[in-house]
Formats: sequence, structure tokens, C-alpha cells
Amino acid sequence: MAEYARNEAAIRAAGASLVALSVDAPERAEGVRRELDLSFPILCDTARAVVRAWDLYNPREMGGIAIPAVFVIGPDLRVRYRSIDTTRGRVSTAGVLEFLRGNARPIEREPIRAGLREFVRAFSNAIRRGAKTPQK
Amino acid sequence: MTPDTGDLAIDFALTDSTGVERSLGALVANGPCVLVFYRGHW
Repeated sequence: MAEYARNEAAIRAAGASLVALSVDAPERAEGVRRELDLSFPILCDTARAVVRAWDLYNPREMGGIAIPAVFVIGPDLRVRYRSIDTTRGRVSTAGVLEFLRGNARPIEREPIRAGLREFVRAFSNAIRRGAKTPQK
Repeated sequence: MTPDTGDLAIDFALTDSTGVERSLGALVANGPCVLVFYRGHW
């Protein structure tokens, strides 16, 4: 949540609003909202109804919690972007911001493409100038 | 099933931490909305 708090202005500047959702009770969620000085709402799915309906329910931890995920939902209610993270504890804001700013490439593929581009560049350079031992 | 890109989101109404009831439909009425599911503090 802290990362979203830091990027809240950037998300708004990119033309979107922001809302968070967890299974926390209102008092707990309100504590987080005040602590991080969030100006966006935190929805309280204490009945686990929405996380279940969205198939983002992890019943194995702490009495059942949400699987970290982020979506961009359009005014027509269509999902425009989604990123689900079952391994790490959270979903980064980088992909959302990139999407909102008009670069709609899925973030997951980016490192692979960048890596491949880098490899091709290094390889062409090596052929042209001869491979160099990286300095330091 | 978690809605995928291009799918219709499953609408819902929930109370926020301040007691205000909010539906997804209302949240997106004025433009796209970033919806973040987080683990919470429990």
C-alpha cells in the first residue's frame, strides 16, 4: 500500500482514480489509511465475498486473505489491465503507470524483451569491434 | 474466474473504511479506476 500511496499523484495525473480492497475490518483499514495518509478509499471485504467472486481468495493464510492483484477498470466496467501476483507480497505500480501512460505492453514480458535487445546489441557490437572484457 | 483483460469486471458494492458504501460501477463512472487487492494487516 505504501508504494501506491507514493504513486497516488502519478496515477491521478495519468487520468485514473484509485481504490484499494482487502478483507481487513474497517477499523484496521482506516488505521492503514490514516497511517499512510491515503486520500483514496479502502474497501472492506470482511465477508470475503468479492475476493471469492473475483477468484482472488487465498484461504490458506491468516484466516483467508486477498491475493495481491491490480486492475485498471474502464467506465464501461471492462478490465483494461490486470496483474496478479501469487508469489510476492504485492503488485508493483510500475506496470499500471506504464499502462495508464499509454504503453500497454504487459510488464511481465518487458525484462525478456529488454534482455534480448541487449544481447543482440552486445552481439552485433562484438562482431563489429571484437568482444571486450567488461571493465571493472 | 478472475476477469481478464477485455472481460467485464464483476461489479460489487462494499463499505469503505469510513463507512461509505461504494460500488465499482460508481467508482469508474468518471474515468478509469485502478483497483488494488492487497493482503491487509489482518
